Amino acid sequence: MKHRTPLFLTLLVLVLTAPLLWWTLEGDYSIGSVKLAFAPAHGLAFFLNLAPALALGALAFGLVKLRDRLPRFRMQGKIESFKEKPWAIPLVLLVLWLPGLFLGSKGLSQATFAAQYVILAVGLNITVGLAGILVLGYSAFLAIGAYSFAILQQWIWLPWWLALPVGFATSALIGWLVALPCLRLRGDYLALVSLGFAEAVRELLRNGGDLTGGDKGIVIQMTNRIHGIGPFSSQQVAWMGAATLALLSVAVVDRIYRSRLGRAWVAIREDEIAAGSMGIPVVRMKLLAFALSAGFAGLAGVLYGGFTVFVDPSVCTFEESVLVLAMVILGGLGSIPGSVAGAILLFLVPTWLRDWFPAMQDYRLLIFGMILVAVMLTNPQGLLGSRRHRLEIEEGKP
Amino acid sequence: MTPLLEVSPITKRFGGLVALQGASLRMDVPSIHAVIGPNGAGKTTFFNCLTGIYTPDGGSVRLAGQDLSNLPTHEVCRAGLARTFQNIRLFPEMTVLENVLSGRFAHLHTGLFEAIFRTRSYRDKESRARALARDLLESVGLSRHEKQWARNLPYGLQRRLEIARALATSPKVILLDEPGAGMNPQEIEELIALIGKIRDQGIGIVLIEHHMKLVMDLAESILVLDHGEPIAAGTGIEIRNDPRVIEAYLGKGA
Repeated sequence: MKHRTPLFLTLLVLVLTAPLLWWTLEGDYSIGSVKLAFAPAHGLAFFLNLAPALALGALAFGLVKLRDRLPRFRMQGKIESFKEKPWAIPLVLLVLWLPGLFLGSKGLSQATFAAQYVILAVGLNITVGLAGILVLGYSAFLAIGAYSFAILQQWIWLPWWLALPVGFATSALIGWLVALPCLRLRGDYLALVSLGFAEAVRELLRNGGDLTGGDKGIVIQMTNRIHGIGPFSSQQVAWMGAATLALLSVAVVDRIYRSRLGRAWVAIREDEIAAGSMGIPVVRMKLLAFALSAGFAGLAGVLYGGFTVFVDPSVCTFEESVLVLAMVILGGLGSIPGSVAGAILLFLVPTWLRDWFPAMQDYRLLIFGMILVAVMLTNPQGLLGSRRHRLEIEEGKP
Repeated sequence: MTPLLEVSPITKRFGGLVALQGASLRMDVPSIHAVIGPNGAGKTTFFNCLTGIYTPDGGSVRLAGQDLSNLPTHEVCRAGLARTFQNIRLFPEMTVLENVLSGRFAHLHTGLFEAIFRTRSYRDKESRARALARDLLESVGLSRHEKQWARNLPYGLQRRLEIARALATSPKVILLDEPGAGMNPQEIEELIALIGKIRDQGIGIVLIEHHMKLVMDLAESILVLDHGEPIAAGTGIEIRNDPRVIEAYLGKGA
């Protein structure tokens, strides 16, 4: 019964869009006006193209349903103790590097972008998921990281790996400054401020004259780009660098999350007044969350600059911010493995759709929306959020 | 000797409404004080003024000689004045243990870099905090539930968890806002024992309570508020026979 409203809405959309799909306007030059003409081919093509999308949606739906019936794996304890081992990170890193040797150039570039989105999603998860501050203009910090690298490397010798801390620090500092006057605002006001900030940053970049290169952007100099080392091609190095950064970001955020700072963020998200009453400095912790979150976006920005060898104002778009936000929500708010999964899924699925079903290009956003709706209907907690929830309860049973 | 807690007459106005007028309290050594009064008498407002959630319009709060007036909420807690809430305010999506640990924030001096690199000192501090949190859960009888989500606890246990979380902040004085609300007689008996135990550890207690048995059993001193004004203060027997208190509770002519 609870699916009745979405079904009704779907029907409504079908009825409302029917004239657009099945009818077309034809100019009748003899009388100098237009008339309505029935054009079944267009509507048919639409639904034919939609079929694989619907199939994919159904598949995703089915997988989510199926997952509930699979035997629950009780690995959490093992994962926890594995994470504390000093050799855990190098080991995982080696495993991550390996596919870099076999993937083709296209696969490597997709993997690199996916890793970049992992950094972004994990970073945004700090504010939105852990501290409970909605941020709608996250791409501004991606742009700040990318541009701080691009601008500085014009004047001084600054290879991309050296620019990483610079991008992190610049973004974190600016994030902190933006949040400083706004955090006394409650709830969604900060979301609007961050949205406006992102728009302002984009306009600033577009109209920055020689400093930002305007709409044309800035090309990263040869010596500062990601390039090959020894036997490895530049794309392999890019993947290894991106994978390393993504893994380190995940590890760092995970460790902060399980420290008193992470607990303080969650406490603030759950109940600000109670958190304050328990000795948690609410404003300072929120500033820290915001700055760290912005810093990770800056890191991703430098990586982006070094890899695409070129930055322009299109890195700072609202769509980009929403995409990253969708990754965090899809994976499960506050869940770090969830953010990783969300980032990989929401980057790779549209990319593969484009590669395999070129005809569906136009419906990418539609499919995207359908997957989001499907997941939110079946798992309001996100893909991995609810799993953790269940495990906690299960283990907690006396 | 400086008193443990000294509240000199506090006034709080919301626009034209006087919510609190001259409520004061003095606790010399760790003991149990109660604040009672009919609904809307300003008891919770009194607590909110003490803990910095509201800024009082007049009066001052001193804890062991330290002036707490005008401090932000988290500084008040850090100074040693912890509280629980009338309408339970746990962190529902955290486990029971995490709830108690979050109360340990100010005393767990682990920084960002320690947390990232998992230094030895970080692990020592963290495991000590966990041991302390487990002890606290033990003392309120919640050990079995440490991995459960706070929101899944039954009501009575949630109240106990709130007390454990407040105790984790190592308070000098703890303010309990209706700790016995919604509890059955047996749970009340357990609560009375628990509060006595906390006092015996040298922690002062101020509690708001409607449950008269609890108040009369425990409180060494009672402050009665009505319409934001203190109408009586004294021991249980004095209060019970005070005509103004009887009038406030039962109306004139009772």
